[in-house]
Amino acid sequence: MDLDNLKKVWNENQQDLPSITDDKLLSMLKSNGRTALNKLRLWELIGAIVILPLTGIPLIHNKIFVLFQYSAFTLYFFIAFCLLGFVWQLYKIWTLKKVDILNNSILVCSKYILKYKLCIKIEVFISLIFMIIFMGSFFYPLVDSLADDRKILFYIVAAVWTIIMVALLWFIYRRFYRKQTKRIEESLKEIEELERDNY
Amino acid sequence: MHNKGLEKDFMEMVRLNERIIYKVVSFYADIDQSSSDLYQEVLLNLWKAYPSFRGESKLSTWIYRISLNTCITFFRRSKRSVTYSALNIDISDTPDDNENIKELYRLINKLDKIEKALVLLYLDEKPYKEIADITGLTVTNVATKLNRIKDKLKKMSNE
Repeated sequence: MDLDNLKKVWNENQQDLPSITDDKLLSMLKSNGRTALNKLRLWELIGAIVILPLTGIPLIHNKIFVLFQYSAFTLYFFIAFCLLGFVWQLYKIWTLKKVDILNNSILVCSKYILKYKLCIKIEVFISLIFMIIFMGSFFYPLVDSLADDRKILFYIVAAVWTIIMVALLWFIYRRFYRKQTKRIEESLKEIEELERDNY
Repeated sequence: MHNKGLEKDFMEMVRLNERIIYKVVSFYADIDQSSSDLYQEVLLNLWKAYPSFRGESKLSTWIYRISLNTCITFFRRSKRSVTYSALNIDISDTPDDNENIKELYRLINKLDKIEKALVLLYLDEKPYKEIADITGLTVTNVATKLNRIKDKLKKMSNE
């Protein structure tokens, strides 16, 4: 059975397709819901609006919690991450805008939705790295407030925690991130080849 | 904007072309997105686009393009199900039990989304020019790509 033979039976099998009632159709139209794509755009826009004010959190925290301050490194790291995050949000919004279902060809829409999916994968992985560095840099300076006999215990716990986090990160990178991004990149490459062959 | 007259016209248009939407949706529905979700997404997008459709292309071409675009780009960040009004039809059943056909459908499901679109349009006996209009490929590219897909399916079935 190949595609040409399937073609012969394909249309025969389309004779008895189920039908949707007028009431159901009308209720779908009246619900006037957001499409999945519009929800994605809204989500990313909210992300962009929320992330900038977050740069103020370390400064507010340092004013309120005198004993548990952000170190200089943690403070600037956090602020820089938020600013880069804002730029990243703008890039994702721009990418989603290119997915114009109503006016663009499926080739163009496909390309940009794949780029968006790649952004999400990268974002999850980078966020994980951020969390590890942030938590490490936030808690490490607190060791000065510990008694000397507790410091050794702290260093041991910190070393074990770091090894576990790095191993986990490596595992996630190899098993999930690399595999999934590779698939998306291959699909993108195919689309780019199709676009090149188009001209 | 969307008045009663337009609503009536739109419903009539959907009624006449329901088969196209059903075919596209059933080609792309899988365990991650249900037929109902995709069907409603396609309907919503057609409804949004309908007022601006000026007949620059054939109606079926326009419906195919939006339906395929919707199914190809359908993506939700969260896996939780959205509360769409449920369809009371089971559009996942196929009327035939031929094992070879089922096997071919299984292989077609392994193709990427653009390849699936080409296969669907080919099975629906669309001329290459129309497939090119819908997909954004050139006619030559459509022919080349379809030949590659046929070879790919043959190779996959021999494995």
